[in-house]
Amino acid sequence: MMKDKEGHTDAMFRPLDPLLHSELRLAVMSILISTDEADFPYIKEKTRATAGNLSVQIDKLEKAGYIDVEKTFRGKRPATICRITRQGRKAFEEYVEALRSYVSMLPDSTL
Amino acid sequence: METSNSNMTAERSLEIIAKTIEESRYEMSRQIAKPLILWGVLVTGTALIVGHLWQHSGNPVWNLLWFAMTAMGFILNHMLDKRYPAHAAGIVPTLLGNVWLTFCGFAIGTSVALLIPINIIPPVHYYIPLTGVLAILMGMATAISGFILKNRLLTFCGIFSGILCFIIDFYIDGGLEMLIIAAMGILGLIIPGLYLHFKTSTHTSHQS
Repeated sequence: MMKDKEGHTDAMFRPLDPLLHSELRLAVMSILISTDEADFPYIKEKTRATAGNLSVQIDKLEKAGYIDVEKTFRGKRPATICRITRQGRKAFEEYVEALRSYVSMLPDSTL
Repeated sequence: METSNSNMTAERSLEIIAKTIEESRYEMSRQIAKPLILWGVLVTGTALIVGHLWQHSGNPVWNLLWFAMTAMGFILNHMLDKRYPAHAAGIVPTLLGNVWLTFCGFAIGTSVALLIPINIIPPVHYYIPLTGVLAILMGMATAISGFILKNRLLTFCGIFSGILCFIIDFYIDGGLEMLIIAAMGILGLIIPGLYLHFKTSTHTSHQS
């Protein structure tokens, strides 16, 4: 088992969810955790991602059951509305907890 | 924004989460500010117009303009929503919307209910300070908004102005009563709306 300079072992680091450990997917999940729902243009604007790339990442999150995607109409215009699911919320909370275990292991000089 | 997780550190992840959540909060504040200003201007403007017409004609029938203002407010609010296609909904704007919708329902309901003692069944008490009651309701909606937004100034403004305007209503009459509603519009809607608007504008200019 690996040990760091202070004698902490790997077992103290919780595994990070690979699906959330990506800048764009993490940003999408952060937006949805702080709102009830958000539509595609809003997420695109806030993440500054391209429409194609964002669609792919949203699809991955939906397939994992982390978000719900509803295709609807707002007036006459089509709208894609995303909402976080209970499973997604739990995964996000676990991811943040795991991050905390990493950050708490860092020496003070790096923070 | 990158999709790969190479070179993604724990600090970078926390930074993305913190920044995105902060931006969402500002977005929610931005969504609240514009309707507050819009309704504040409408309420204050209508109160001054109704007050002026009532004072000079001596006829309270001009109060019917409030119904026109309500309809106009909903239309303008809808147009304001449509101007900004990107949309996110949060619990805070929804709660505030419901608080003010409840106020609107009670204000219209109380005004219409007054027709019963005035026109149908003679009341035991003959003086009903309607404007004062509306000021109390409005002050209460402002104070609840302050609690939701965790803004002590707004809460204080709501409680203080609501009670003060209720007392003042016993000492003024006719068209002058509309000054109370105008004051409530400024204190309870325009000032908090401008405060939130400038707060979000400052944040946006710092970001860009």
